[in-house]
Amino acid sequence: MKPKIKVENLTKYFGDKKVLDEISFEVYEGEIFGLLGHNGAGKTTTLRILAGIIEEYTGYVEVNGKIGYLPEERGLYRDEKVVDVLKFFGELAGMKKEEIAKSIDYWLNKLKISNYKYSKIKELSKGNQQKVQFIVSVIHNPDIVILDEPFSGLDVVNVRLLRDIIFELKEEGKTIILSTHQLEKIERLCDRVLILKKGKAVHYGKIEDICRKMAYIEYLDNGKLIKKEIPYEEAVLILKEKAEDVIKFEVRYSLEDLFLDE
Amino acid sequence: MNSGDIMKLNIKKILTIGKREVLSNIKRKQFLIATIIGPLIIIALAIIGSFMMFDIKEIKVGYVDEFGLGIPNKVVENNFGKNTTIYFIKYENIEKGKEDVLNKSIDALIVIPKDYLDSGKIILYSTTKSPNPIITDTLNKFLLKKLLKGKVDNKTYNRVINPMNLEIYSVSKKGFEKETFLSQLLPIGFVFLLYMAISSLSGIIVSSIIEEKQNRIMELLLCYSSAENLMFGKILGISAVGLLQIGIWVLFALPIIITYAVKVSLYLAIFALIYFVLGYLFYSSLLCGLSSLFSHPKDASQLISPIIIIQIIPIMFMNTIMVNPNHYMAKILSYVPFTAPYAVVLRASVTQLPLIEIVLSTAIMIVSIVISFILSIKLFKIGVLLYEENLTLKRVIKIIFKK
Repeated sequence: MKPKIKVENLTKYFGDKKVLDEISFEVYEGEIFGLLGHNGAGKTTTLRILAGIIEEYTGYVEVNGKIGYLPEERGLYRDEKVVDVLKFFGELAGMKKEEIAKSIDYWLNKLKISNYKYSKIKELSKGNQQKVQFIVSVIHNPDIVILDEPFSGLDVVNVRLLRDIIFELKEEGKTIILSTHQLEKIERLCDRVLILKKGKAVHYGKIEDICRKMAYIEYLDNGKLIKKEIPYEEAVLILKEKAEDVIKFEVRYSLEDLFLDE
Repeated sequence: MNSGDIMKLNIKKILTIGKREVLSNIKRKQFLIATIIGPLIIIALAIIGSFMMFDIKEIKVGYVDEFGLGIPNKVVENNFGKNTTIYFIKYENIEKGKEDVLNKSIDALIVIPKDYLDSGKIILYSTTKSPNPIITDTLNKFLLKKLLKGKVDNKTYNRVINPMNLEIYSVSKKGFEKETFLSQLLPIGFVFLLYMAISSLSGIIVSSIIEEKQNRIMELLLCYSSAENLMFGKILGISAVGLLQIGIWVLFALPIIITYAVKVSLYLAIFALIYFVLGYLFYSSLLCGLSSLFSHPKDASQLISPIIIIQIIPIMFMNTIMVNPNHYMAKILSYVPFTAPYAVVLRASVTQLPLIEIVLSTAIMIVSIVISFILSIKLFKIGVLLYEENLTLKRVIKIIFKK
């Protein structure tokens, strides 16, 4: 299968500072790919290169498909109406007028902000502004959706809403790349990940292949409820030993270890 | 611009960006204010000037006549269709006259000394350093009349009173063309129009680009279109706004233009149009690139103001250029891209320029525009993602010459 995105030995300098150091990875169709790392690890720079915003780098980058992009630093034309902003970016993306109008209504409805269609951007709450920003990234039905820290600034309800939408995009065959430094958001979302540390790729692949397998277990011990997140193997032993007392058993993967400095 | 860059140009995207630029700018208060206030200021200045110039209907002048001229009691002067009556009041005593000037009984006191014929001296006392020119003009005429009356024939007398009815002809290969005062207004009008257009342009460009940077829209725009499309679209849109504004101003001025029926030479009109476009393209691309380096209008203006001010040089030398269009300074200004649009049109309005100079100047402008676009796109690509605070001129120069 030909990858939707192929990156080989990507290196980028800002002045004398090397911010990306020979990064290589591939992203396949229908995949949700996570780009992880602390602030300053090079996530945003990588995504900007994929989105075509940064044009000067060394290495090989191949992107096969139409791109939608949600930047980390959010911003829109604050004095303009939601519908006008969306129209503008739809036109810029090469859509026809009828397509734009249909897409606007579809996405406003999906993100539950239809009643703000004719409001000025600056009148919206921060969360709703972010929803409009997200719509800009998908309004033109892109093949590849690049999301830089898509969950930051959203409340719990909207995080779930956005996650559901991302899953739907995946089911439609879209390819999604997203970055985050909030690890708890990633575990049940990404098919594969690339972990960056100071501009270098330190881990790459499926989560279960590169992360420690953990388990969350709840069980009764002498009438007392015990809740633990422990290594998977330990959890299995408890499960066997106290099968009748185990109330909850949930497999998880821990990303924390991977971010510790050596 | 290499062939790779040309492939990035997308007319549809450029037009989309330009259209948004136009729509957003004409809604701004600044645009409406500038468009309306511009002509209003001109009209106001004209009215005030007119009012101040001809408001005086009555002037009282005291005089002490030691020479014995015999000044009349009243003179009515006509200036541009308005009458001013000057009353001459005889004083026997200079001190008394001065006293009355001080307490404003009279506007001025004139003393004609006994030896006037030998010395030509006339003494004028007034509370202002610059006495009303009507007084001096009237007195001058009167003195001439008195001195010549009965000594020369009427024909000679009238000629002395009005020595010249000047008609100006400019000499060119086409023969002699009569110059009128109004035909000289065209190049001056062009100069100020271009200056105002570019100054207005700089304000709009700076606020537009910096707004997009401050609102963090640039990344998004660059994802949907190349830097080239974005910059061309902006220049197109902002130029349309600027020309719309100028169009409105011209409409305001249309009654005046029609009234005077200015006969514009085709030669000069073509010059003005071509150099307006060349100048506009040069400045707009340069300002677009430079503006993108900054995140605050205040910071941008420190670099952009000097560029706007450079235009003042040919304006300051306007009179010199028109009087001596082949002076080496005028020629130098014609070959510097920042000043060429002004200098060439001013020179062309008063003389026929050699073809070689026209070709050379135009070529330099075109090359400068290309260089300016290339340089500005380079700056634009760097600048739009740059959010440094306290960006200094030194740093800007470093950025320009680094990549």
